[in-house]
This record gives sequence, structure tokens and C-alpha cells, in this order.
Amino acid sequence: MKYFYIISVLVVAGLSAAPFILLDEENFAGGDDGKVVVYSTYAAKVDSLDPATCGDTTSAMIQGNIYDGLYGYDYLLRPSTVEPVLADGMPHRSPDRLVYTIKLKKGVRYAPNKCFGVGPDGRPLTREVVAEDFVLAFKRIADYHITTRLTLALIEDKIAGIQEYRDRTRAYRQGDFSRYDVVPLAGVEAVDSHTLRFTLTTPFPQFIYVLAMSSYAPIPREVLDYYLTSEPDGKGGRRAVDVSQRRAVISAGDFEAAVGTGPYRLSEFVSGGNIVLTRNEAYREEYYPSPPDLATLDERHRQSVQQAIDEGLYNDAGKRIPFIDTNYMQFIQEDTTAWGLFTAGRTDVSGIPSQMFNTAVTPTAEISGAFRAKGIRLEKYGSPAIYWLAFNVDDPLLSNKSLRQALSLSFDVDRYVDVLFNGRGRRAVNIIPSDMPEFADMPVSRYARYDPQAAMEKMKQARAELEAAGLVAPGEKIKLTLDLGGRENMQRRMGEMARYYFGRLGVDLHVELNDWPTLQEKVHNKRAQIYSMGWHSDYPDPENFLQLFYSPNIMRGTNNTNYSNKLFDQLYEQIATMDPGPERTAIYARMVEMINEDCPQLLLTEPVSFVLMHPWVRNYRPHPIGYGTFKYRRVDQELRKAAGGM
Amino acid sequence: MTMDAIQHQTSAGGAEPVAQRGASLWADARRRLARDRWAMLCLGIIAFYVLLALGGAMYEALAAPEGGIPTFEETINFDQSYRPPSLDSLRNLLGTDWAGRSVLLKTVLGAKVSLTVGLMSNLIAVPLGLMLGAAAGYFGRRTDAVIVWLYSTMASVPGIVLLIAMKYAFKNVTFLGLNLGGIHGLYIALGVTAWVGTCRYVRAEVMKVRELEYVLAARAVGRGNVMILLRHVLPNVLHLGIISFSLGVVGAITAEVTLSYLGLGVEVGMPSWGTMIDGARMELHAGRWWELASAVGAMFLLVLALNIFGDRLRDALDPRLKNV
Repeated sequence: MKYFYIISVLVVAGLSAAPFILLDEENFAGGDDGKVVVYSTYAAKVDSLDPATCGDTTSAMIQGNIYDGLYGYDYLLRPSTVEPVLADGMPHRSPDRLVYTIKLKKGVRYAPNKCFGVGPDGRPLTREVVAEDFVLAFKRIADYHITTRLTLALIEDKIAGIQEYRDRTRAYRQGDFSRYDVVPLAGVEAVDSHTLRFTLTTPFPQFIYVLAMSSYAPIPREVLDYYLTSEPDGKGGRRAVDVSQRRAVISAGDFEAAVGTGPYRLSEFVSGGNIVLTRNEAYREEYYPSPPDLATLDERHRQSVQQAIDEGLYNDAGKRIPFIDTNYMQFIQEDTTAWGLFTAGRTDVSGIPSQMFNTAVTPTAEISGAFRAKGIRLEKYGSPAIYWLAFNVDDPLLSNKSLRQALSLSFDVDRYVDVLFNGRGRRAVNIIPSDMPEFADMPVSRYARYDPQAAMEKMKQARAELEAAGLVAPGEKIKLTLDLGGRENMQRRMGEMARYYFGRLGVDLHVELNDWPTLQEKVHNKRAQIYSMGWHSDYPDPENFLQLFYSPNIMRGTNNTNYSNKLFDQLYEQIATMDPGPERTAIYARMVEMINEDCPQLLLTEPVSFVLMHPWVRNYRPHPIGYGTFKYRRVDQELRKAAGGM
Repeated sequence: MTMDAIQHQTSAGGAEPVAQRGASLWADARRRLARDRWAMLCLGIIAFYVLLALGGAMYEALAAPEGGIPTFEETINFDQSYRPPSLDSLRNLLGTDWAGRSVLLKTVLGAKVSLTVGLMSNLIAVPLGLMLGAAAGYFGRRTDAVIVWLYSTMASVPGIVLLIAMKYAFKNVTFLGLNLGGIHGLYIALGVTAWVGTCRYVRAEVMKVRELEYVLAARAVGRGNVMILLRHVLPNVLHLGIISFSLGVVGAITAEVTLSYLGLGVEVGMPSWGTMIDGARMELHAGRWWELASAVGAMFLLVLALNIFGDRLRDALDPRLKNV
């Protein structure tokens, strides 16, 4: 019996001590070995590690650090300005604007990986990027067997031979990769090992922005041959996978197959778990940007450069990047938990949960004294994005324009921004983000305002029209359903606000809370009536937002309001080939006015983000469009240690 | 013994000796409960909640959009958001929520939802458990095997997982004009997952009862199985159903709170304690405690009262404890 008591005490003591032994900081961090390590959190799952299938901002954020495209964006210049990344200079465009010839930088290598073989010392090898790798990347995007979310939609009818390539690859089995060797893609050619040629079907002024997306990054053939045609055999080797069993896409389970030329590679990846980005040892010599000559810049660019100089963002000019060796990313959905890690100094940068906003930020939108005293800085920035409640105009009730206009007038967006986002957002007044240069010439929607009286009058008109059409019986309440993506408090409150404001018009609104894939499925199958949506700009051109209402894009999925207007389509086809200029801007304005009048959505906000960062964080400036900006970040390790940070 | 006599004995308490002083089982239980101060206090609390729920229901029936009494949704006043509790007015007695609505009114309406959920789900679960348990216990053999297999399978799946699965399955399903994605689906999901306990108790009790003399006598005089089950067996295990009901309400209320907390409970716009707790838990960081405290306090008191009353009711209806 004596031993029983002794063992019991030992067991209890051991269990009590286990958390302290197993969850100590070194285990959490994996040890830093003198390297520069940072810790951060992310809140949404990473859906894709394959550039071809990238279609959400979280995946783009991860992929942007692993894969480089031909072009990218200057880190500090605003408005966003394209610069070469893997390309050796800007493209040469033929006089008819249909052929782009691009030289590649020489000596750019992929992150070392087993797919390239293993050296005598057991270390994985690498190889240089060649033009054929880009051809393969575009062939995969055009491949019938790969379901892309956005990458194909942007180039489908623009690059010559895409449809033919899709048709021909359909005849192959999914796992038969010989199609990439046998079937040519007419519009993308490797002229030589370091020269690429794109042939377009029609002038496409936005093509340079497409090439600036890391989704069009080169893919080495070795990745397919190693990771998609074989699998681990459980004995440290690999065994072949039968053609009928092969996948065509790099999956999240094969994170080692994410091989790019970017500054980082994945050394650990669990979707919805820990992600570890580690410096790519083979990363080329790249340097922190230097301030351009102010005399060569226009007014807006000059201002942005001057502001960056004043804020010390050019202090590291000319230094080799990346500065940080490892980035540990924890998956934390609860913003208050992420906030707790930030205030404890375990992460460097954090957004502000709405519950804590008034503690951290003053009524004049400045950082509060308590946080300033700790040296914490506040960064405010807008994003070229617009959120809205989309109306499915194919729905019998919502095909009524007066009803859509009435609903738009009835919702108090300013109150919505105040109550749900602590004022962190601007009311969207049309479908073009306000930080795009063309915004100044775009008409403001007369339905983008809160006017209960006007809403009521519009509602009377809508009711009369719906009754005349036999869609609503006299005296019957108009019943609508709002589908929201997510079941969090924010969505529930959004639903309650919509019920309140639409209810004042006599609308009986039913709110459905869905997970994000379910909402997407409903929208895709046109089963939703009203739904929360938004668009984050892929490139700094209003065309990227106007294409959301081009009727052929209903089939491609980007036009999910099912809006169809022949005149709008004609104008879109006209501007799609026009170079920037006053004439194109005037047509943009006409198109925006059509959307303003037809209200295929209830415009909500342009988001404004408030980010807090500890005093040891350097060079932090979110980019409105580009994603691979982590390489510019730096931390002052001494200061972090002295301040008790992680 | 004539048939009337059998029936008389059956209704008076089955196998146990006839109650002292000639009182029936129910009359005796009533008398014992009436003497139990704690049981009476809890019953009073439950009655108070029922009155609150009735008041909430009456409010919802009388309130009409654009009418004299504003609906709960029409009480939104964003200028009054997050007012702490004060004695200024009845509206602000328990403070206001994020939309400026009275937390007191929300709590009262939450009581209606919770009690309705408890009542409706048990109106499904208890009869289901009673009938299946009685059939399994009385008929035995294959009937018993099938029912035992069914409830063993149900019991092997964690209740909350089953509930969540059913709520997902009911999404966008309409049955007899009822939207099962909302509160009606919640009644059914809770009802069809909560019958197992009742079924087990009743099955065991019926297995005992079916061997008793008055049942054998009924069988001997040619009564059919269904008639014996309905007239002689079920009335003698009914007290198990009542006890299950009182304790099942507690389970349903807490399950509703859990599901609402997970975002799978009542519809948006319908106040319930679960959605209040879910909505207010993050507000604690900002020092706004009153909504969470109101919902948790209201639920705690009701659950405690139901638990104690259910316990005392079980004691009162247990013939073996008659003379304790």
C-alpha cells in the first residue's frame, strides 16, 4: 500500500509538470539556433499550395513567399507599380500589341529539393529556372484536368491556343503527364532557355498585371515527375504511382512539392495548423529597395516615397534580403487569442479585435497612450477591395430593379461600419476602390446612401411591380434569404442588422449562416438570393472590378450576381483591348454608372485595416496587391529581447 | 378476481403493496412533494420561469412591426449600445447589448426559447423512449434485440456529434412546411437523440413488470399483448417518463446553449441564452460582463431548479422510498 501512495504522488507530480516540460518555449518555437526567427498567426485555412489553383488571399499570402512570378510590385511605391522579378526587364511588346517577348534573369535557382536529386553530401540539389518551366506552368493552368479557381479565368480567352490545349488534354488521363511534352500551347513558347514569348488573341493591356501574380510562377517538371508520379514507400524510398491513381495538383499533404524561386520554402505545413517558412538557401542576390529619384516621379508616387523616407522605411536600402530566417505561423481563428499572443510579445504584429479597439485606439483613430508608452506603433492602411451584399439578379424577386434599389437605400452602411468594425472602413460609393487613380472620374451611386424615406418609396414601387407580375400577392410579405459565409458573431450580427433594416421596409428576411465552401457552392449553383461577397483587386486597374459584371463571366464564376446587360458587355469588350487613357476612363465611367443604376449589389465598405506592431518590427508596410513582401521585414532582435518579446 | 379488480390494482401501483392509507402512487407522491420545501421552492422557480416564458410569448404575440408595441428587433437602438446595468429604467436594468437592446428583455425571450426547446424536444424524446423501451422489455426476443442494437448504436456516438450532424443534415430541409434548419429542426434533433436514457430505464422496468401477477392474470384471461402493454404495463412505468421528462428538459436546455454557442442553434434574430453567451463571451475582454452574466445566471438557476426538482420527483415516485 505504501508503494501505491508513492506511485500516486509521482504520477500526479509528473502529470502536473508535463505541460511545463512539453510546452516550453524551445519546443513551441523549434529552437532558433541563433537565427532570426519571427512568430505570427493566421486565421483562415490555406486551401492551395499549387500556384495553378491559388484563388484565396491566405493561400496567396503563403505562396507569395515561396513562388516568384515574372513581375511583381515595388514594395513601397504607391500607387502600386510593376517591376521585374524573374524577368530581365519589362516585356517587349509588338506594334500590334499581341506578342510579348520577355527575357529571363540568368542564374535564378529553385529552392533545393529532393526532386532535383541529392548531392554526394546528402543535401538536395537545385537547378536554374528556364523558359520551359513557365511554359509548363501555363500548360498546367490550361490543363483540362486541373480545376483552377482564378488563374485560367484571367487568361482563358486572351492567350492564343488555350481552348485548343484544353480540348486536346481532355483526351488524356489525369495522371498521364506526357500531355505536357506532346501537346503544344500555341500562345506560350520558349524561344530559348531564357526567352519567353506570349502570343495573345486580342490586345490585353492588363497582361502585365497578370504576369505580376505569383500564381503564374514557373514550375519545374521534376516536381511532377517526383512528387506526383511516386509516393513514399514507408521505407525511406519512393514507389511509382499508377497513372490511374495520380493527382494532377500539388496537394497540401505534399508541402515539400511546393518548389519555387521565392525567398522562403516550407519546412513544416499543416493546413489549419502550424506553418513554418524557412529561408531558401539558394535565393538569388536581392536587395532592399532604394528610394527612387523624386524628380522622376509623378505627384502621388513622390508623396508615397517621401512618406516612406520620413517613416524610416528606406533605412535598409541596398541591404541584402531576406532579413528573417524563419517565420513560425500558428493557426488561430479567435482574434482575441491572437491579440493575447501579441500583447504578451509572442507575435510581432496584430490586428485589433473589435472588443479591444477602444482600449487600443483613441476616438481620433490614434494609438492610445498605454500602447504608445510601450513603443507599439499603429499602421492604418486601406486595401483595394470592396465588400457588398450581392443580389442574385436571376432570382424572380431580385430581378426587380426597384427592389434592389430599395434595399440598397435602406441599409445604414455608416452605422454598420461603426458598430461592427469600430469605424474601420469607408463606405463604398461605387464598385471601384477609391485608391485607384481612375476613381476620381467615376460617378457616385445615388443608391449608395442611407435614406429610409426614399427606400420606402422605392419599396412601394417595387411591391406594385412585383404584384403586377404576380410574384407577390397583395398584402403578402416579401420573403428573402440572406446567406452569410461563417457562423461567427460577426456574421450573426451582420444578419441581425440586415433583418433590422430590411424589416423596416416590410421584408421578412431569413438569415442562413454557412461555412465558406457551402456559401460558394450555393452561389455557384445560383441557389442563393442575397449573399455576402467582396472582391480584392488582382491588379490596379478598374477593369478587374468591371469584369465581375460581364455576362460571359457568369459561366467562369467571377460574375456571381448573374448580372447581364448587353450594352455593358459591348462596352466591356471595347475597353478590354484599350490602353490606359482618357477615352478608356470615360467608358469605365459609363459602365460604372450602369452598375450604379442597376444595383446588382448593396455596396458596403472598402476595408481599412488597423495593425499594431511592436517597436522591434522594421520595414512593415502592407502592400495593397502584392503578397510576397515578407522578405522585406526585419526585426531588431536586441530590442525584442530587451523588451521581453519572444 | 374480476377484470375490474385487476384494473383497479394496476392503476393503484402495480407490483408494490398498495399505498398506505389507501392513497394512490400519484396522490402519495404529490403529498410527499408538497412536504418537501426544497422541491416546492424549485417548483416555484420553475413556475416563475414558465411565467416569464409565457410573458415572452405574449410579448411576441402582441408586438407587431410598426404597431404600438415594438418587436424585439425594433427595439434596436445603436446609440444605446453596451449600457451597463442601472436602475434608470426597466430597459437598462440588466444593461444593453451591442445593438442597444435590453438584456432583460433578451433574457426573458431566451427563457421562452429554452423552455420551448426543453418541452418540445422531450415531447418527442420521452414518448419515443417510453414506447420503444416498453416494446423491447415486453416483447423481448427480436424486438428487444433490434431496439437494443438501435439505442446501443445511438449511445456509442457522442451526443454532441450526433446533434451537430443532424443540424447539418437538416440545413435547407423543409418538412410539412416547417424549416428544419431553424428551431423546429432543433426540437427534432434534440428529441431523436435524447430518447435512449428513457428507453433503457423503461425497458428494464417493463422486464420486471411483465412477470408480475396482474400481468400474468391479464394474459390468462385472454387479453392481447397490445392491450396489456397499453392498459397494464405502461401506466406502471409512466413515472419513469415523468422523471426523464424533468431531467431531459435540463439536457435539452444545455444542448441548445451548446449548439447556439457553436452557431448551430436557433435562427438569426431569435434571442436565446446560447446565442447570448456566444455573443457576449468576447465582450468580457472589454469589461462588458452583464449579458454573459444574465444568460448564464438565468440558465444556472433554471437548470439547478429542474435538477433538484427532478431528483425529488424521482424520490417521490419511487415506491421503494415510500416509508423513508
